[in-house]
Amino acid sequence: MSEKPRPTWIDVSQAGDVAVVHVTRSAATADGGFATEVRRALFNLVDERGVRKLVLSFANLEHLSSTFLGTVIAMHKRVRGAPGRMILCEVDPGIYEVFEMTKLDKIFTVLPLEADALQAIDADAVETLCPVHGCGAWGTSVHTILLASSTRLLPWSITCPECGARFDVDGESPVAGAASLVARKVSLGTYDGERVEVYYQSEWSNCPPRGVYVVELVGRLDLFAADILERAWLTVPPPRRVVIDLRKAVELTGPGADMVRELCARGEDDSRTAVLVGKEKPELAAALTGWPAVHDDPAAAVRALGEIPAEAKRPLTVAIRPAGK
Amino acid sequence: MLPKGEVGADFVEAVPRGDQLVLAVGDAPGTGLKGGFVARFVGNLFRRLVKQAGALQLAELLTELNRELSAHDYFEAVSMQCVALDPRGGILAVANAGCPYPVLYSSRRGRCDRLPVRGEVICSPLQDPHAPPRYEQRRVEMGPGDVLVLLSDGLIEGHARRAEGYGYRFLPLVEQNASRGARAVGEAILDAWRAHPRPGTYADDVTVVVMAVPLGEPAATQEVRR
Repeated sequence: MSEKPRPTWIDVSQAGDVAVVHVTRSAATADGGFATEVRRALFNLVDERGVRKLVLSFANLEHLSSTFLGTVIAMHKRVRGAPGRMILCEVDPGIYEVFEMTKLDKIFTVLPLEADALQAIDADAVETLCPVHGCGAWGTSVHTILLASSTRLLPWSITCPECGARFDVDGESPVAGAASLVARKVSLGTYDGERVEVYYQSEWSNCPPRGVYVVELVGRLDLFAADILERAWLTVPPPRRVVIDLRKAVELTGPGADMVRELCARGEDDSRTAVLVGKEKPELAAALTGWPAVHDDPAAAVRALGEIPAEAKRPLTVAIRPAGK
Repeated sequence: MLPKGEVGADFVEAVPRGDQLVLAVGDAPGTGLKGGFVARFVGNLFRRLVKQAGALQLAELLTELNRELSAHDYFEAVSMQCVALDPRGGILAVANAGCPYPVLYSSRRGRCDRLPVRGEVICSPLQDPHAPPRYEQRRVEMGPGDVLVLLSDGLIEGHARRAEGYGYRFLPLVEQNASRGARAVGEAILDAWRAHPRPGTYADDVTVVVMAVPLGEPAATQEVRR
């Protein structure tokens, strides 16, 4: 009786000193003893063949078992300990979402295309420090890896692998030798498609003077979003001059209104806060009726903050450093 | 719960605590007896930590669980999420360690939301011993008529391509069946999941926990179904 041929677990090609590994479907779903064979085949690249630069392509994958995910994690550890570098590429968005949920995006370097990975494997990446209050995580992103060698960057955004906040960095920021970049906007997700954003320079047509931050809520303001709103408010460097912009809010629940009220009342670090609501949402305005801090005109909201102290006139910054420090 | 093999490695733990109900859903690695043993061990440990805790902070509880399991080489990565419902206040606390985002149906809005609460798996082999994972506890309002769905990654087939895995296709089912109670919602989800076309057999244990607050009754009377 003829034996069923063993499947090919990995397909390895060489690009200079970089091993490009295409994982097969059978490898990504192997179980039991086969899973051990897959692990051994990958480990052999590092242990026997001395590979130190590895691009792992998921292009062929329709499915990724938990066991294989464990193998990728173990492989990452092995390559890093060699020491070497491993980059993942061609990862399906559904699989990448799992990396995000489990914060594996904090650990793995994942780039869209194989060409990106080959370009980035020798790049000196930089890490950025998340400016969100209470986070303070250092992280890399596609942009920090691919553009690290640039002296000037196009506008780009970074997603913090720890808290998930996205911050847009000023395109005019010099990178080489810089200790920090200017963040134009920080976006903190609430529900799918909803968020709280912190602007240093507002996108309003009648832009308020420097020193006033806008904390804008897009979507619902309930208890779930209220905690994020507070985090956004705390992200503004003191002494805070903040306009909470609720013109894109679609709903305001009791705990959401309580949070707005509490932030307006906070005077810590000489903070002052005003609220902006839209005239076209009378039900929302009605919920806040009687609050002296509530306005329906941007200029009036800014005026309500009073004089802007010189210390408030500084942008939100993002510290940077070479990766791996 | 639909185990992949004879012994499942998913677990569910429900712990009453004063006026609160604390729930955990998790997924231990592997299959067979070892997976089943680890799942039960983690469930029991979770129960003990809930009972011992002073003020219940779910994020701290996951941190402690991670610390205890990471101290033993025997354990591998475990994903789990936990919630604590305070029915009097109508507040649900949520913390996550690598599980798919839970789903909350709001009867007031007639719609479902995923609750994006992130967190690293417990006992991850990539953990930096000098910088253990940080978990966050989020709060959300939950009142009469609302339905919470907790799930393991076997249900969404999270490691499959988005186009082919089951994903979060069940959201309309929750919206359609919310008024019929937790059991009806759970059965509708599992029926649809079984009927979903997929190559070969399913790859992981599947667990769904549905918690519904009945309409027209005080929030304090909770209906819990597995």
